[in-house]
Amino acid sequence: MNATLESNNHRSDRVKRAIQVLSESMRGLAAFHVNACVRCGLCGDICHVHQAEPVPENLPGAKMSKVAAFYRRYHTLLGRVAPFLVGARDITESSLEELVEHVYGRCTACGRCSLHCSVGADIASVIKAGRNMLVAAGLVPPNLQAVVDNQLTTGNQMRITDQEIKDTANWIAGDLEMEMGLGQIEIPVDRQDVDFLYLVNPREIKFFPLSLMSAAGIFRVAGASWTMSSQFCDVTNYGLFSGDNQAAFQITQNVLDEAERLRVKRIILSECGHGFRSFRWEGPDWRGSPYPIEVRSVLELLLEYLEKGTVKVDPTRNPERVTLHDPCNLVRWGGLIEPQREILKRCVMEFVEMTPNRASNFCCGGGGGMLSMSEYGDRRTLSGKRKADQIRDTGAKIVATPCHNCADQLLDLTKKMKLGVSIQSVTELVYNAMVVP
Amino acid sequence: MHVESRAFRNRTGAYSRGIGCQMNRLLVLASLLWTGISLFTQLISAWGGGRKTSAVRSGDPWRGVVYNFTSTMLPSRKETASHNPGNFVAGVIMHVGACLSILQIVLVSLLNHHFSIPILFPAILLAGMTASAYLLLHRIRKTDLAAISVPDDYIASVMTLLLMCVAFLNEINSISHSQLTAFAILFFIYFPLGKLRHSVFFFAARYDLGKRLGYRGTYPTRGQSLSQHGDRSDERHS
Repeated sequence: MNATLESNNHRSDRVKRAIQVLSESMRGLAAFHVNACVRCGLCGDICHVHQAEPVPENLPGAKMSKVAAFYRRYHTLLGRVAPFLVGARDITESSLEELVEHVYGRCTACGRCSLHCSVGADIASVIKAGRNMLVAAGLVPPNLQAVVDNQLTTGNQMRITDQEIKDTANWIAGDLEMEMGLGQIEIPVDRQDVDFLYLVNPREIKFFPLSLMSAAGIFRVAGASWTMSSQFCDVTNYGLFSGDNQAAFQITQNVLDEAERLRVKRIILSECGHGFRSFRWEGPDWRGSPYPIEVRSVLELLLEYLEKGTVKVDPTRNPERVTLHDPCNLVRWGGLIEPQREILKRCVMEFVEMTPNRASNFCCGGGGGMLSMSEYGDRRTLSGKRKADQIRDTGAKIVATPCHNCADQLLDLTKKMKLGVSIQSVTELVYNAMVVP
Repeated sequence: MHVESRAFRNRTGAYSRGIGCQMNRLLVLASLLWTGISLFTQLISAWGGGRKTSAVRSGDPWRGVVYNFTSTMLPSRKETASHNPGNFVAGVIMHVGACLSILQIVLVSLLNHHFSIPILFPAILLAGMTASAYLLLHRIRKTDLAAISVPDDYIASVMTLLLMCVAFLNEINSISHSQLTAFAILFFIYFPLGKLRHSVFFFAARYDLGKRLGYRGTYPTRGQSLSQHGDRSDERHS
């Protein structure tokens, strides 16, 4: 009996927290968009998930309606007195559990629907409010939550130890020395009073070191003064994906504190879509104040090197046709659209755009934390079909993507859909083309 | 072009005056006030003081707002429009008809004044009614759409269709002042309660997204191409 009482109290608290957070998340942003939606249903055509699996549940408007139903119940007159008229729903344990699949499992929050919505409703921001609510209810899919927890407890999402980071840096530096023939090369870790702290995706340390190696080689030629951190090396921020603003803030703040400890002048972010969005745009808002330090993407830095002639490139070293995948969080939500194009035009012989491109790109299907939620793995692969078709249409042999998250999904698509392309970061292509003095 | 502007006359050709008419007018005014105050309150509540961003800006928020109210609404930039030209055209016609109807009904019911351009106004209203009926049928017949529709969607569609019918009947002098005002009162009472309120939130939503994406430098965009079936890439650099 005590257990039942305790469970009921717990349940009630969870629902209360969800109602409170929904109200806070909606105000000032998502509420505009919920009230603008006319449920015209035209958004199906523009969503990669709906294109791959055209069922009503995958309509962006339908996903938004799931969150809107709760909003209407507690914040509109008709929703309070005649909920059936406006499709309003009570927030209960079961309705919250039902929401999980709709906002995590059927949507990557890529925002393509927001840009093409017939009335201009930002559907992704409403989905995000739904995720905020589920965080408060403790209903984040466990695998996604585990990544957030890893970041909070170990400083990076893959639980890489500081010793592993130092060892990897050492062997990559050794390989670089042999490859470049420029004498001793160091990948500095925890060095103080340098120009910038370079944040990487832990994937670069653990599985795909070529990206870090390329960056280090370019920094060597450019004579950059830089360092990595053994404590907070991670450019990613899965709090953005889970909708946990508190965790996302803490992850950002940890890096800022580390930058202060290392007394660096700026932070350079490795190629990462959501990492860029988190640090560049959302972070200051989570903090509630501007950063005391400059934060830039490595793409901006690379373009600066190329424009100033600090790094010289020979495009004939990348003779194959290259296309570019636009990560949603970097381009649509991050506004970083042209530097990667400018870089590629200088570094490859033939650069071909996908159609559509830039802010109107299609999500690869791996965004929004989808890659870490294995329970939705089949849908993730299926929803990448539109991207696979886009890649095929270009006839490219190399797909450049300035995002490691997208790279993982594209690698998966390449394998499963037999695309016959190689997936590379922009940094790798610059390194390939770089003329070593 | 002949513009007709005169005091409203009902079906019998008599001008609408008298205590009943004054009462109707007051009720219309009250329902309009209800709509205005209610929508304003909802807008303020949804705004909630707004959200200030602390990030250093990359672009121009106001250019983003302008862009989101102009280019992005054209079929050349909006796939919901380019992929569904029928719905897009019907939507535009319906909204023109609805706006004209509201204007007509307010003028007649509140100021007892009829303003029209013969042939043009009735033609717009007829086209609006046709478009509205088409969109309502589309909602009923399309499985996807029916699945996500709630009663409010049908009520709003029917109300809009009736709105244009009433305005049209007024144009051809076939509705009494009391019938017109009765509908006006009903319409304006329902207006802020259901999805018809999108008429205000549409502007708020476009403003908000345009400003945010303008601030970040995403808007205005260039070079993006709409997705079409079987298309090839259109930009090459070599």
